Amino acid sequence: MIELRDLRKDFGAKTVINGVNLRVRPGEKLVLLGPSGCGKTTLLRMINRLLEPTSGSVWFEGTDAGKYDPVLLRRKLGYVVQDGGLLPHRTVRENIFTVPRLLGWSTQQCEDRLFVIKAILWLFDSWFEMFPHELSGGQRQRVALARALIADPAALLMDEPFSGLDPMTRQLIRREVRGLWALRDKTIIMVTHDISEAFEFGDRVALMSSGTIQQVGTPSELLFRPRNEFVQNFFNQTERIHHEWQAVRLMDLELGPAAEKSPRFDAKIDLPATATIAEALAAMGGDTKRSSALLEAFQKHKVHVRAAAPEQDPQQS
Amino acid sequence: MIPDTLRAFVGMHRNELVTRTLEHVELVSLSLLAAVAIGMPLAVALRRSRPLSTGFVGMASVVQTVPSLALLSLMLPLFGLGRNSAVAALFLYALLPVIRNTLVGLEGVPLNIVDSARGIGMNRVQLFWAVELPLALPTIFAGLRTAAVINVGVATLSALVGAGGLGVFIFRGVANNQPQIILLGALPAALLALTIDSLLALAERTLLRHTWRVAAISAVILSGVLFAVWRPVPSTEITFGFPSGFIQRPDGYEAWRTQYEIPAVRYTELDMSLLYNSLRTGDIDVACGSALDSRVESLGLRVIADDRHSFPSYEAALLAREQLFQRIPAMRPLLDKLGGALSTETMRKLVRRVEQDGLTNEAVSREFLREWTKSVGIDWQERRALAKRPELDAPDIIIGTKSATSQYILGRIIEQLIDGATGWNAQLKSGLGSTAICFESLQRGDIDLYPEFNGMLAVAIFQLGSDTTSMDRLRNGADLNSWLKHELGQQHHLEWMPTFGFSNAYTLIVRADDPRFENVQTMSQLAELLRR
Repeated sequence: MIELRDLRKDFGAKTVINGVNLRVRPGEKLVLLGPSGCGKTTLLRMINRLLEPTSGSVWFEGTDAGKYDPVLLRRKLGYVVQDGGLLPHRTVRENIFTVPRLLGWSTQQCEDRLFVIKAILWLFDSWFEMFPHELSGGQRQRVALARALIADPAALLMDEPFSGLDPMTRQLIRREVRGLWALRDKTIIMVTHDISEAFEFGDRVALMSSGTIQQVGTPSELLFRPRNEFVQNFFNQTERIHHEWQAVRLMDLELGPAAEKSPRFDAKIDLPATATIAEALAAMGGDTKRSSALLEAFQKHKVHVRAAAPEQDPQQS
Repeated sequence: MIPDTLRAFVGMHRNELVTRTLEHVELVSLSLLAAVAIGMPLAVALRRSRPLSTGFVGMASVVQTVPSLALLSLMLPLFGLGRNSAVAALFLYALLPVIRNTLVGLEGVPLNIVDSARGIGMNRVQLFWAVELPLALPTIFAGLRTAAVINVGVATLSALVGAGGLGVFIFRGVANNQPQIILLGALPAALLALTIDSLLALAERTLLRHTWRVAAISAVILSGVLFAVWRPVPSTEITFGFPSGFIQRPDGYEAWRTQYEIPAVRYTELDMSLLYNSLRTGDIDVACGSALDSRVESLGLRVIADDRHSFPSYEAALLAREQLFQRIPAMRPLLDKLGGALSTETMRKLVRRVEQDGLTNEAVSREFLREWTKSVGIDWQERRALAKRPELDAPDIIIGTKSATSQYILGRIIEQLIDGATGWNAQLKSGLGSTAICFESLQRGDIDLYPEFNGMLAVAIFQLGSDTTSMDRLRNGADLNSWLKHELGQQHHLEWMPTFGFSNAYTLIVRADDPRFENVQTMSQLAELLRR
């Protein structure tokens, strides 16, 4: 779907991205995680050619993206930034229609598509004639998402999309977005510096540091089978146990060898299989019996992941 | 009662008020539109280059610091008399706010919005029209509104270069000391500034959400400007140039037309100092100048004789505060001696020494005093006059003058006469704007005396000429002087001294080589030509 080959970016004498290889599979949610200044935003901006790489190339659907007109390429890739980047002087409707208008859609086509998108993004009709500043931060972000999705882009790029929001709204909209049916098959690359966000959102996480990718893998792999010391130390924080609970989903537990014996938590606590351990624990409340059974299964999963032979990662040099 | 008078007054001037207001609107809007049409694209083109944009903003700032009247005069050689010069000067004034606010506005567009607009696939053109321009628009309009308000004010000065506008009333009112005429120009100008400002505010709100309309409207405006600027001005007709005072005076334009039975002529109203140049460049064909001016022959011009004596001729004398003579009694005999000291011929000679031979006013007046004091037996010591150090000695007597070469010379003569013949210290305040200003300063005691013409006082201060009786008085010089002496003494405690001996009159001047006036020697012949 999207492939980065030997990407390198210099700003003057400073090398910001130093040889990055990465393959993003269709439908995958990939998170670029790392401390600020590690180059994750630069990397994202090279994908839709807001920045041109110093060397190396970006491949999009099997074609060198360098051969695209950058403007046309960007119209195929949705883009959501912090605070949404909506046009303050245009109504919500006009904002959402920006890309379709650029693509030359008729008003009828726009409205038809808006009818579909407003249902799946839970947008309210009353918003459409409002201006962005009249909406709350979370509502604005949903509108920004609608703007990015209305023209059905091949992939979605998101740069710290939730970091402008307060913690409560942030968690809520994060889960909301992850659960969106419309995004289930969408290829998404998201940049964040927040570990919880990365683990909750990403199928795979690419941990970056000083211009290179340290490790790519599922959240469990990063936590329980770190490839080097940097990765190990990065997650060794006071909230580590919480991050571990966020990294593992109910469905992961069933996939392990212990699945036969483990209880079907999803059935009992009425959560989807994609819910994280952290969410399941929260849903159980004070039920220690059930939660200890869950944590037991979680421990077994950890041991299993640690013991598994290091998978050969063809995308990671 | 008052509203009735007001209505009658405005009604009397209604036609001209409408014309002048339209002229004013034209001046301001043409210059603003040109500033927008040229300044905005310039700012947009330059914004990526910091040295270029700072350079241009710097240049525009320098223009802004040039005094308005100077800027207007600098435009004259390039664009000639009339609207184009005024528009050019106003355009230069409007340029700074437009360029600077466009740059600042575009710079202030939030980066994340630009970034996300590019990220969803807007190209440069779309980004500019749909994002950057609308977001910069409030700042741009703020600049435009500043420029508009400045220009409505500065445009009043356009009257001085014959571009018309509401300033015409202001200068006419100042020239003839008619505050109501000044207000007739000043009030509509203020209203106009407010109106244009709120119209622009309205336009801003409408345009904000429809940038394509901005594009369409700018295109229309641009073509409108070009059309207006290149509109040919018919020039076959004979154009007169009159100073503001002449038009409004009861013994001026109207009296002259009645006397010679001349139909209404096409005329431009402009400052006396610009008449000669405008005549030479062909912006006007007939100028109404001053008989004391020496430049007629040297500039290839000639005078048309006033064979029916329609043009008023005014005698000059000193107007002084009675208080001065109570304070310094010795001044009276000294200044009395100036009575009859300067014939029209002498005065013209002195003016020629300055205007043609390039001598200073001081040198010319000393030259005169050397001869004259000897002939009337005044003990005048040139060395004492020269030794004065005005910056150290507090003045005992302050002399005022208006702004004409003859007035400057006269002022110097009086100053040096007092300095050289008495122990008193005289100081000169020359270049005062009008009869009204001089008279007012005299009454307040800011000046002690100044040279004045009897006809100017009679019209500006005593409103003579508004009916036939007072018109007769105005036309009879000897009578007028004794009447003035009496009235000024009784009413204002001022003294009208013996006349100098020279008089000043309006004259009509044409280019000596203008074929249309080949057989025109007198005003009667001119009237015949005009009636044809």
